[in-house]
Amino acid sequence: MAHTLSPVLTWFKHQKWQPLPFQKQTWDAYLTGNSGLIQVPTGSGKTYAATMGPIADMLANPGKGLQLLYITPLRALSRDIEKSVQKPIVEMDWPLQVESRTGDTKASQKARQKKKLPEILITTPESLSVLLSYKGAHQRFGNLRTVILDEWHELMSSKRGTQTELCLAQLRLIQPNLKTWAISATLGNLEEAAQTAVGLGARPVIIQSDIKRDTHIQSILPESVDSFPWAGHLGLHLFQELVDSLDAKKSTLIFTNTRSQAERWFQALSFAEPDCPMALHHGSINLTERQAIETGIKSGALKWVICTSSLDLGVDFHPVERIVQIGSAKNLARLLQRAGRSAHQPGGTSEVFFLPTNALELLEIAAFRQGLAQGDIESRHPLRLPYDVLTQHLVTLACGDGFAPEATLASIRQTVAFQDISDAAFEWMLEFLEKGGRCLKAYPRYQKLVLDDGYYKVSTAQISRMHRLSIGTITGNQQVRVVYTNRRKLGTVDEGFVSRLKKGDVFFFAGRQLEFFQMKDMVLYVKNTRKKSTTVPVWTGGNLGISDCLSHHLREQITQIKSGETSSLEIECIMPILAAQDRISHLPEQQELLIETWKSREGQHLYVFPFEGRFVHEGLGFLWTYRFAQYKKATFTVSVNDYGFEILAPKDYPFETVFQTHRPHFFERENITDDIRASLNISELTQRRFRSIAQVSNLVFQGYPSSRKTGSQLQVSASLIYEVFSKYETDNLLLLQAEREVLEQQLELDRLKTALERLQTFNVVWQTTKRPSPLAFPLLVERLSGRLSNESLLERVKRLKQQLHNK
Amino acid sequence: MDSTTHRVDLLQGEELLLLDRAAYVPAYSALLLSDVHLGKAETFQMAGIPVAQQVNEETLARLRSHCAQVQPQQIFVLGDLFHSRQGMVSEVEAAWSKFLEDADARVTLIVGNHDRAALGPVFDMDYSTDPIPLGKLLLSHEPETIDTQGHLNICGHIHPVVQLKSAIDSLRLPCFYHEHPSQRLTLPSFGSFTGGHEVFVGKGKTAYITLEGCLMVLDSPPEE
Repeated sequence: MAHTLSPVLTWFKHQKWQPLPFQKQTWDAYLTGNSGLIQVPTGSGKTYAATMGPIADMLANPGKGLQLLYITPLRALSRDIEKSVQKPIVEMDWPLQVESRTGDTKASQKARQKKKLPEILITTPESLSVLLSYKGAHQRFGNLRTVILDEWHELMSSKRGTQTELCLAQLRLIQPNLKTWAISATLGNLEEAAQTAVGLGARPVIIQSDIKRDTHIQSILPESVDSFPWAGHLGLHLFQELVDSLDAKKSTLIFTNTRSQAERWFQALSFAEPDCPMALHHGSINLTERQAIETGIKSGALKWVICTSSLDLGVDFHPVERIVQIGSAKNLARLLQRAGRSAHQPGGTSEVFFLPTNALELLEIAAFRQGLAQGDIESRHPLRLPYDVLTQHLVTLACGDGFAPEATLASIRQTVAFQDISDAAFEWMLEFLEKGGRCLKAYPRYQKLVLDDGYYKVSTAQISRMHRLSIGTITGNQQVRVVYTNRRKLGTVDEGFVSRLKKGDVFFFAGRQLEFFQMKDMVLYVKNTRKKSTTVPVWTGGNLGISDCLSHHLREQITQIKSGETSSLEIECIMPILAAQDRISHLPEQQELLIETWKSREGQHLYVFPFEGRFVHEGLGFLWTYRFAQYKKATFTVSVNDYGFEILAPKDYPFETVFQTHRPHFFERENITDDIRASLNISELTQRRFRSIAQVSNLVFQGYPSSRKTGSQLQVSASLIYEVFSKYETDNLLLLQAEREVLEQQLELDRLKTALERLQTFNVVWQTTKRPSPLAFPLLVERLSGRLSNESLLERVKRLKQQLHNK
Repeated sequence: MDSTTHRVDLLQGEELLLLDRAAYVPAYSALLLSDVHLGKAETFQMAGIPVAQQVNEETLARLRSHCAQVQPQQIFVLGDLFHSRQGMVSEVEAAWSKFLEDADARVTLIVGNHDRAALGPVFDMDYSTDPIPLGKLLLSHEPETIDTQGHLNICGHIHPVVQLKSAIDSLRLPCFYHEHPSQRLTLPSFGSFTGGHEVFVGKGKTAYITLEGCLMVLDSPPEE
């Protein structure tokens, strides 16, 4: 083995590097025939840990064609990985070729790769699927020895992760001796992550480095905290404090949770520090500009970069010294990931400046600190039975050499995602793809797959063409490209945002004041303008909720505050609010559930504070609404945040009487799924969820690139397909999947059950307040924001606040 | 009159009765409907998207039930009766021929943009490529842009829908869309498997929704 590794060791010696213990362990484990997972912080030499074993093997036992496949979630990362893998090959003159193949690769190179792949290929899950959709996969992948999965923690729990699992199952069918190595950041469930990567047929080796990286959180605090914490009120008002604590000479990444926030902060910071070289980076900004910004960070030319999760991953930005997090990161893993973007040396300390956007986030900072100190981290789980991804994958295989149903079923049962797929479900899927499902039975016109000599293949070339264009599981709203009148591209915005604009309107995007010039063929033409505007595009995206891990620490913080055990700058800062809470209503102790009622002109308000995160509160809110309505009917409105939920009922609704009389019923877990189904407009939620399922399973065709015409006869919204399916085939697996996603992912039913179990044993402290308490106030605002437009919201909130102070 | 029809008095127009996704003009015993899109399901099936062909049957069943209810002497289809050339399969042709055979009314198709591409077979009905005046009404497929000279322009093509939204719920419903200044009434699309284009109500813009036997009139944003 030492002999096999000697070229690698020689190169390390040339670099004056000493292989780290975890690198050596990984190489040894690889060369003794194992698959597994490497868990190290970013920037610690993980790429060489994963690749050098396979490369040593390739040098010792040369093979033909593709032998090492490196899968990365971000195509932007592929260039950097290519560079670092290329380095020893060039310096040592090893007879190996490295190339990338992603959505950005030139068509000529792709065509060449289709004929002959290099020894080492760096690619994304989508590009791998596309490669599997061509004929000749056995020849193409027959000599493959190793697959490396980079940033596996990020990929694993999404539909892209499932897509990767399925592609790997297919590669293992072609090459049973394939070895798989995943690279992951720290996770609460490393064993599960490793097993998902290597498939159920292998026992993974887990290699953890002993590299420790401390993370320090420093908060940016306001001089005084308003006694009414309105969500979003603190944030931007603190920009001067932020500027004061930053250094215009130090390379700094400023993370926000949404793209709109990033735009606003860029506007504010560039106003405050016009001379500091800064840039704005988020997923809707044009790729070339983003690449230029990344280069700017690396070279040190750019100092402050305001960004979103677009810079969460990958690329090592050595000059970055500081991280700012605006608003709560909502889970520990994300905070650690972002913190890790600074101090890219093993053993370094990461420092995060945390800027709260509402007063209660001060509590979250304290909770983050406690969680980090105790070494807690969230788990992420691979998805179970996402049939839409399987539908797409089967058609992908059918576009290529075709698939034999039994062998394929056996191979997908080796994935974690589909280990439990029933024979009936698989048969349904085949029938759906071959005959269009039960409602079309015996209808000869349907075209998709045909069974040909034991193999399912695509019936027409047009279907393969359309399919290849829609491979992938990333779905979103229809995007409109934003382009200068001189055709320079700026990026994309949601169609919904553009529909509210008219010619001459000014908005702020990609860090520029832009004037709407004209809208043509899904392209918005704009001009620079000096006219000022505060309008910023809003991109629809899922709300983040605090994780179970963080909510646990948050509850502990409150308990400790009550008992006077904890003290920190943040807690001192928020004390006036908590004191007001205790005075007006009550601050819950351990084993207490706080419920408040308040009467307003709107009706009777009920506030409940389980501190379980917004998704659990959503489910709980609707569940309680339903259970209240069983005793006394009324029209209710529910609103939620991370701390609790509000139910608004008509005047004089007897919340307390109903609750106290039927108390056990409110915590019952037995009929919870049925009750939830009955309680919220589940079909509306399911329909919304179905939208992305329809896209992934290619029921709605997105159209050919740069063509607006071809699709017109096939233009359809997912909701129409949903209607037809639910009318004529109620047990369609894709419909059932949509409902399951609502219950399991959106409402986090398991977490909801655990919460009910916990709350059941608690003392209920029932308070009737004369005005909304500090904890209730943000919920009041939350509901209004669901009903009012942004502009009048602020006015309305100001008015409300005025009224509150006058009392 | 049955509870599922609704009398509406429109400025400048004849008296109209609104039915589920269609309108009836008593003065001329004329049933008006638009954007039927027969054969759309078949078009999708051929592209590998399994849409049940029952949607055609459902659409035609609704048309039959309207005929039974109001007993029209003439039926005007304001365009887009058929979806596409590909969708003109024998079952679709046969189903429409059967309807024409059974109908006791004269059927006229104002040829729409989809029909132009789809029409190959000739059916036993009248065709018009021009707008058709009917008393104080002017029937067309696309909205008329020329001065309608005191006529109310009834058209299709747009597939108007209104969206009703609250904090926790939202609904999109096909509607009749009346734009007062341009004297135009746009019919909802009649076909079951057809999408919609969102329209907004406000000053001079009214939407009528027929829903579960009720008529709902929306003419200004709900008060807060």
